[in-house]
Amino acid sequence: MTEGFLQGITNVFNPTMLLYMFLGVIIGLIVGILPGLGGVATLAILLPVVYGMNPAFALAFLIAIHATVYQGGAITSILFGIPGETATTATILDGYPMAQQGKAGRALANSQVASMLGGIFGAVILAAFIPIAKPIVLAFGSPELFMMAVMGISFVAFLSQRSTIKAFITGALGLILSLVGFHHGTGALRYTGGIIYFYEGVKMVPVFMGLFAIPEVIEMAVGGETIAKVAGSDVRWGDIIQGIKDVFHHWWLMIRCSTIGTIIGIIPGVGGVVAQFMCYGHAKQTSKRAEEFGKGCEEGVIATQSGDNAKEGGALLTTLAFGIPGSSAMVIILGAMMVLGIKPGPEMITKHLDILWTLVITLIMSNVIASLIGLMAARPLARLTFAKGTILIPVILLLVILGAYGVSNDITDVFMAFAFGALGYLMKIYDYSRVTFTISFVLGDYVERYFLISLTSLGPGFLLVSPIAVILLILTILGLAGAPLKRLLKKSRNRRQKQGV
Amino acid sequence: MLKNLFLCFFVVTVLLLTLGGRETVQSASPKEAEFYKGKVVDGIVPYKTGGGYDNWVRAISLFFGKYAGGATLVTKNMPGAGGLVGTNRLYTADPNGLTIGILNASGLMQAVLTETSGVKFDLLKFTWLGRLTSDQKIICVSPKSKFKTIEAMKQSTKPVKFGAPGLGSSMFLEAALVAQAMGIRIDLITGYETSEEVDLAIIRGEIDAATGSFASKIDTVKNGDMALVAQFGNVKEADLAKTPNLGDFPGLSSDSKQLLDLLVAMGESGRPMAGPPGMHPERSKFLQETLKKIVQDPEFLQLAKKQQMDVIYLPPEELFKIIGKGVSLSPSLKNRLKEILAKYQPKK
Repeated sequence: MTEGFLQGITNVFNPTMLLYMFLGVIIGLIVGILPGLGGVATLAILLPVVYGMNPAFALAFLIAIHATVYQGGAITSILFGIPGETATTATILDGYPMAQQGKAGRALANSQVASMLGGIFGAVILAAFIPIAKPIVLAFGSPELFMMAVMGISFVAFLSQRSTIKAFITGALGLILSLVGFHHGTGALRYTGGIIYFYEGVKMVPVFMGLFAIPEVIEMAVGGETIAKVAGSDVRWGDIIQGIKDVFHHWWLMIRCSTIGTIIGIIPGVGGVVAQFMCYGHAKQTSKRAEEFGKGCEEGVIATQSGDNAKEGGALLTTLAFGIPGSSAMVIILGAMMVLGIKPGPEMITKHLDILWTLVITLIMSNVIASLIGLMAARPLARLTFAKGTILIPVILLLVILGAYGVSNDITDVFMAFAFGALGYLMKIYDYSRVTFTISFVLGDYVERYFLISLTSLGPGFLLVSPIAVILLILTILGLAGAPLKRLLKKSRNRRQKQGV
Repeated sequence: MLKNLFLCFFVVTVLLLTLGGRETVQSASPKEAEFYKGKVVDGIVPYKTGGGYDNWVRAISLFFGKYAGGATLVTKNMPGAGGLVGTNRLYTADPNGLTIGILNASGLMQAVLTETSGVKFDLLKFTWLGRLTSDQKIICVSPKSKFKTIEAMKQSTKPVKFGAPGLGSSMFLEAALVAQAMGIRIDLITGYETSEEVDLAIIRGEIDAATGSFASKIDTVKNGDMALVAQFGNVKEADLAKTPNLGDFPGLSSDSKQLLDLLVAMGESGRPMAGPPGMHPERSKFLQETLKKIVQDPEFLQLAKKQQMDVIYLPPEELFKIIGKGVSLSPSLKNRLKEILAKYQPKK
C-alpha cells in the first residue's frame, strides 16, 4: 500500500508529468469556459492523440482535463449566466445574482474553492473505498435510483420562491417536457408531433442555454446596463478572500454536497447534470436562510460546485472496480486505460496500485492547480461584469449560439435555445421559477424509467426489497413534512406557553 | 467556427507534442488524389462523442490523409433517434464524395425490418465503402446465476429475466429472437439507459441475463463478474472456443434455424462506412481503396488492437449482398419477426 502510494507520488511529481497535468488543466478550464464544448467531447477528440504517449502521462493529461472543466464552467455561469458546462447550470442560480450585486469576485472564489475541496473529497473517497467498491456500487439499483429521483423532484416544494402554485405549474411543465420522445418501456412516441428532432426527447443543452442565458441578455439589452448593477467597478482582493472564507464557513454543507455528488458519480446512467440540482435542492432545504436562495446566496454556489467536482471520484470508483464506466467521460478514460494496457477491475488493487494512486493524486493536484488559476484570474474576470452591455451582449449571444449548436452540430438546437429563451424571459418577468422547471425536466425521465424497470423486474413491492430505498422514502417524507411539522410544533408550543402564562 | 479553430489549435499542439510529422502515400489514382488534396471530408457519426462508432471514425481520421492525398477527415457527431438522425443526414448529403459516415448496419436493418418511424432511407441505395468490423454476440449471466446453460434456462418454470435498453435496441431484438428460437420463456425488462447499466443490473441480480457483443464484455467476464452462457454469430474468437454456439444445438426446428440465421446475418453486417446514394463513381472507388488501405496499415492495426477494436474488414460488394439478403426477407418471415417482437413488447 505505502509502496504504491510512494510510487504514485513519484509519478505525479515528475516534471514532465506536471507539465502535462498543467496543460490538461489549462485545456480543461478553457473547455469549461466555452459553452457547448464539453469535457467529454474534448476527451474523445484528444484520445487518438495520446496513444503514443507514456501511459501515466496520458492518463494524467486526460484526467486533468476532465477534472477541471467545472472550474471553468463556473466562471461562465457566474459572470454571464450562461452554463459553461451543462453541469454548472445550477451555479447560475445564485452565482449570477451575486455578479449582478457586484459580488462576482466573491462568487468566483466560492466556486473555485468549493470545486477544489469537492474534487479532493471525491478523490479521497476513491482511494479509501476502492477495496470495498463493489458492494457500494451494487447497492444502488433501480429501486434506489427511483427513490433518489423522487426525492430530487420533492425539492420542487422548497425551491419555489414565493408562490407554491406557480412552482407546481412549472414543475408539471418540466415533467411533461421530460416525457417527450420514445417511451423507454413501450417504445411509443410521445408528444413529438411526428418531428424526428423530438424522438430522443427535448435536449438539455438548448433548454438550459435558452432558459437561463437569453432572458439575461434581453434584460441587459432593455436596460442597457452592465451586468453588475452597482456603482463603481473595483473588484478587491478582499472579495476574493471573503469568498474563500465562505467555503470554510459552510464546510459542513460542502461535505454533504460532496457526498451527494460522489454517490451520484458512482451510479452509472445518472448523468452529471443531476448532481448539481440534487445538491442545490438539498442546500436550500437545509439552509437557515432558504429565502435568500436564488437571490445571490453563496451557499448555492458552494453546494453545486462541490457536488460537481466530487462526482468524478465516484465515477472513477465504478470504472476502476468493474471496468464498467460510470459516465460518458469515463467511457473515454476507460478506453484510454485499455489503450495504455491498464486493465480495470481487481487487478487495479493487486497489480496496478501505483496507477491507482497516480490517478488519485492527479485528481487532487489538478483540482488544486485549476482552482489556484481560477482564484488568481478571479479579479480581472470579475471586472467583466462592469463592462458595458453593448460590448458584452454580442459576445454572450455568440457563446449561446455556439454552445447550443456545438452539442450535436444541429441548427435546430439553436432555434430551440431561442424558443426556450422566450419562455425563460416570460417566466422571469411573471415570476415563474426556472429552477423548479429544470429540476423536474431533468429528473422526470429517471423517475419514470426506474419506476418501470423496478416494477417489471422486482414486482409491485420493489420498494420494500431495498433498505436504502426505504430510507430515501422516509427522508423524502420527512423533508416534505418537516416545515409544516415545525410550524405545528411551534404553534402548540406557543399555545402551551400562553396557557402557562 | 471559433470552436473549430480552438479545437484545431489544441489538436495540433498535442499532435506536435506526441506524434511529429505524418507522411502521405502515393496513390494509384492520381486524378482523384489531386481532387482530395487539401480537402476536408466530413465523417458523420450518428452517435454521441466517445462511443464505439465515434472511436472508429476518429482512429480512421488519423490515417485518412496518408492515403487520401492529404485530405482531412473531420468527425461530425450527429446523434439522435437511435442513430436515425445521422443516418438520414448522410443519406441526403451531397454525393460529391466529401461526406461519408459510419453506420450501425444491423441496427438500421432492424429499423427497416420493423418499420420504425423515422427511417427516411433505402438501405440498399447507400454507396458502401466497406465494413470495418462485426461483433461476436454472446449471452451472459451473473456467475451466481442458476441459469448458466441454455438447458437450465429452458427448464426454468419461471420466466428468465432478460434486460435491454430500449425497444429499438439490438439487445431487445436479440433476446426476443434467441428466446423464440431456443424455446426459453423470458421476461424482457427494458428501459435501462445504457448497456453498461444492463451489465450492472445483471451483476446486482436485478435481472438474470442479457445479450451483448463479446468485445464489450471481455474484461468483465475475465474479472469473474459475469459468466458466458452461449454465443451466436460467425466471428471466431479464441476466448470463446469453449462457449456453445446456438446454431450447433441439436434438434432445432427450421423456424428456429431461420431466426438464428437472421440474427447472424444482422450481426455480420456490423459497422460499415458509406456515402450518400449515387456518390461520384471515381471518388467512391478512391474512397473504397483508401479505406481498404487504412485497415491494412500495420500502424492502424496496432492502434485498433490497443483499443480493443477488432478489424474484420469486408469489401463493399460482399457487404451489399449481406445487407440485401437481410432487408429483403420473405413476407412470411417478416411477419413472423413482427409477431415475435409484438409478443415481448410491453403493453402500451
